[in-house]
Amino acid sequence: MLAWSTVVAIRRHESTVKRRSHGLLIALLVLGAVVSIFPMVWMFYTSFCPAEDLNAVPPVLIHREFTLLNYVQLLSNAPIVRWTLNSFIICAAITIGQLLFDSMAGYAFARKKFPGGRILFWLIIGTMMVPVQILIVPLYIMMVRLHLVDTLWAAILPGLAGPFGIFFMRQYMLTIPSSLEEAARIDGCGEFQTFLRIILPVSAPALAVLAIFLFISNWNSFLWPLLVLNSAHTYTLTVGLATLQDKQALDYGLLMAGAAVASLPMFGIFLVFQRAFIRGVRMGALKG
Amino acid sequence: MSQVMRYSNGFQHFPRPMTRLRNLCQTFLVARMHNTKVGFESGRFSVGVVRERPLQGSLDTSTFLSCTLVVVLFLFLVATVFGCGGPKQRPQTIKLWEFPRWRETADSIDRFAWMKRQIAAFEATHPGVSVELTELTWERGEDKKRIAIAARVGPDMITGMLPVELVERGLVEPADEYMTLEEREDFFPPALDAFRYQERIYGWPWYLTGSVMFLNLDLFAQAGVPVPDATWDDNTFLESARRLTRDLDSDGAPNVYGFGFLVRPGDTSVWPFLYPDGVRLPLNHSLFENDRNGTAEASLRRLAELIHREHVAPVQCAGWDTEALWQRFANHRDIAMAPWGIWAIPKLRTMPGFRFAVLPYPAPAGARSVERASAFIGTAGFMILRQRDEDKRELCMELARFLTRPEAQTDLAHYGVFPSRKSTGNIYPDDELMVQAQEIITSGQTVPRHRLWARIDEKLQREFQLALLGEKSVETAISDGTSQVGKILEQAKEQPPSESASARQSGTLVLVSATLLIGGLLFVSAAVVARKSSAALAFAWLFLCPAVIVFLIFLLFPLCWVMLLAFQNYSLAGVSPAWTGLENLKSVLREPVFMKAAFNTLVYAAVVVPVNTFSALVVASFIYPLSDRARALFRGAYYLPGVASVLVIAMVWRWLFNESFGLFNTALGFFGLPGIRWLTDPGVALWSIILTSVARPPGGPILIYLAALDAIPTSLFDAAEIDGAGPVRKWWHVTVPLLRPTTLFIALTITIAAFQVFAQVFILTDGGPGYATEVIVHRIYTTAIRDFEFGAASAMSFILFGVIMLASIVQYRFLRSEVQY
Repeated sequence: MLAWSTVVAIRRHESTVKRRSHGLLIALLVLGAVVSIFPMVWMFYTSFCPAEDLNAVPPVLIHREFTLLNYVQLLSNAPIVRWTLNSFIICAAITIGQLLFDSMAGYAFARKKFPGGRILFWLIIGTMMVPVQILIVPLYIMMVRLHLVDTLWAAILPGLAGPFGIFFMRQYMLTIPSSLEEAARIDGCGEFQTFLRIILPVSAPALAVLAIFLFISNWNSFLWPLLVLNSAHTYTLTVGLATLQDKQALDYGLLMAGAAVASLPMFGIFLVFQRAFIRGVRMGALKG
Repeated sequence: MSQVMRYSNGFQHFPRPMTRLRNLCQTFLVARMHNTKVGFESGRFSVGVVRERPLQGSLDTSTFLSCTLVVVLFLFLVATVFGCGGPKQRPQTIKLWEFPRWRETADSIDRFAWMKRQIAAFEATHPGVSVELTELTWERGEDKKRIAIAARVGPDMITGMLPVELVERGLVEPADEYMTLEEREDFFPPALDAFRYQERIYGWPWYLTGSVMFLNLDLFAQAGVPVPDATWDDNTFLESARRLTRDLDSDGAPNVYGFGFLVRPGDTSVWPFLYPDGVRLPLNHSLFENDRNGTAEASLRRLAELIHREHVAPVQCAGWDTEALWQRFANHRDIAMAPWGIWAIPKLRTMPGFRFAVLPYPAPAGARSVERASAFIGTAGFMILRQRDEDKRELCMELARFLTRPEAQTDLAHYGVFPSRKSTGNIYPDDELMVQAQEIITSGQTVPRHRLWARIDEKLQREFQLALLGEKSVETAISDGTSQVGKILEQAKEQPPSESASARQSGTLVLVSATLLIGGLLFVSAAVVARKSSAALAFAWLFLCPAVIVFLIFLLFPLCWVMLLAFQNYSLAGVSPAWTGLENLKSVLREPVFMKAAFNTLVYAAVVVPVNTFSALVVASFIYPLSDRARALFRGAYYLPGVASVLVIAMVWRWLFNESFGLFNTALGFFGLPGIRWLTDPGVALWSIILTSVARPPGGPILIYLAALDAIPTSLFDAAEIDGAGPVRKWWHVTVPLLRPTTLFIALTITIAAFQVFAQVFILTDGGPGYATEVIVHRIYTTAIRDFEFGAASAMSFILFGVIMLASIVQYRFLRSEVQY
């Protein structure tokens, strides 16, 4: 068991890590990153290409001319602002809801020993193992009978708590030294205060990761919003962009421009939350 | 029948957006009033159960909480079951669900512009009528349509081909009474035929499309082969194909093929070759019974010979998808003849320097002209779903007539399809090719109108794929296909469609599952109360409460509902479902396709789980010691690409895997190695799918590992360093053990995701070739969402659940640890 003072000192000490033979390592990492990032670069690149180049075979790798036409068409014609706003509302609601609910539940599972807890925990984990494909129809019928179809609520409500988030927060909170809470309790914090003032700030890196996951996976989700939303003014960005595509011949330029536009907010979210990775830990340290 | 009416009563009409919120409130109020008694009794019951136990402590928060939970849940469920009231909609609102069609100008990207204009025109001439247009997507739009109609909140009018299942269930209004004789005469017979089912007509034909033979004229010229005319027969076809197939670099393998074709479930372009002598595909239950003279078998053998004996078609083409064949035909231009849908005509015209011609399918040698193989066509039209209101039904018919009027059909030229009416005339003046194609298409035939056609087609085409790829002999493929089709038809006979029973049953099921849930909850809370409760317990419940409520309502409840179906012979088209016990499980386990899918899934998971867990751990450990800036950079580089649209990633993979110019085969060629048929070789395809999953270290787990590494006190590393441990030992003995809870989490989530692998398969191979990449969730998707066989799909889910649970428990035992530091 570590003393409280040591925990307070949780900080990154990259200076203590020796930087020998890092050249090779970094080269490997860069190689992996390049492989990994390739589809994304390709997406941005092709979204600026004229249509005739995109159909060429073998694919033209170096384009002579670039065009903004795909973006101009996309932004001037489609109700893309409305779609983006809808997507944003849905993702934000789900993310905030889950961050709160999942961390609460995760905390209970990680820290409270209570009868039925283990069963409940496994029940929740168990729901992850059920393929969503089978749940879609009954869930849809529920939404119909609740008269929520074609409202954003239908897209938000089922996402307000998730087994993944609960499991994730529990696992993270297991690694928080319990001495932290003991110290808080000695200082006279109640259960809720301990949770709000100690546990949540210390969990900031995990919350940031979860926020990124949730926001992005919901931003990309397609089948459920398509099912429960019926009109162009409630569509999300992914669904809306899909209404611009033909069946036989995919319009690659438009597709890529759409995907690029859709991915920009995700970069934003990632950059915002990514600061919390480091800051969170320092905040925890300062509080002590 | 009255039952039917009663059930359809509430669901059919959907409130307008403005009144929706009010309805919601009303629903809850009505439900509450309706069931006060029940709720009260139930409440007393639950209190009674609780009270029997000795109470500990004066303020028992958990009892209170669990009671509240039960009441909230019960009210919600009751509202769900009975919440079908609500004010009726004005009959003058028609809900039309339509797919994206054509772009009117190069600048406009709205593919609904035409329909919107027509609707405005209709509304102008019909005051008081409004048409609500729902813009569907081609991607999964059919699923949405089917699910909504099944849930009885679908549209009033749909577009597309005749949905036989809906017709059999009496959900589509017959249109023939509303058509005048002149109108009937005016439609091309095959177009009207496409909407005929048991002597009645169920839709208003709109346009026709289908496939014809496309000839690359440049390749004909290069090989010096005369271009055949429309009366060509099999001998001419074979002779041309032989001469067109050329080995330019004399390496023994042809560089240009005379012929290429597709064998894909849902694609009919190869069917005319299988039924060449004009035999119309027999309808209904005798698909192959008519085939005593072995026509289909002989034709399939003929196709196989084109590949394996004549070598005029590429070996792998039976495993290709549309895009692969298109790239070869239109871009690479090394295939001289191929059947394509007529959508290819405008598209090929945009290809610089591509000269082509269209022809009908070749007639069998020596056939009389009337017996030529007719193309299979798809006819889209407008269908009106069941309307109780006579006025509204008439209004819908009026709208359908308006949309199919000859003057409006001239605009179909934008879409590259043919009008359904003779009086529309030629909408492609000065376009010889389109006129030729129109001639072929308007005398085409439609695939059998059978409720289970999609499944029959899938079974047959998969068997054809295997036979043509040389995995099976033609005889075995035909006999396997016939027996599988026989099973499907047998099954169809056993379950004549019936509407009311399934609707009633679903209500009962809801109640049963709700009771089960609540009973279970009561049991748990009673058990909890029976023990010594504490403040910690109360707070635990308090913390769990919100998440648990969401879970119960939106996850466990539908789950219980659908899982109960595993023990019934329920299907949307089925008669009143009966409890069949383990029958579903047994039949699923006996099905060879499912076992193949299960095996593939196991192989996939066995490779992907360890590789991905380990690679994430290694990459994260490499990134961790870097500077903040570098870490941020790598975090983004490894995580963000994974969030790009699945379509984009799939496209990149298609390009990498492409057999003729893909990066992989180009690289192999550079080293003098033969190319690999990545996605079309049944022995390789599964490994290609696995490759797409392991090629990139998974971004999410790397992020999680990095966050976990941040949480490890650095002092521990320092301590290890003082002890003189090297970097590898330090990593293995300090870092890895400390990361155990995280590793457990990551391994479990990767396992769960791996067993549920779906997206890659769905996009890249659709389970083919044959069943080489079939996986469990793809099976479940097809069974539940396409076939609506919830009994079987639930049974499969049960099995999958069991397997994942087992794997998870094993991992949990190995990786669990109480962290102490």
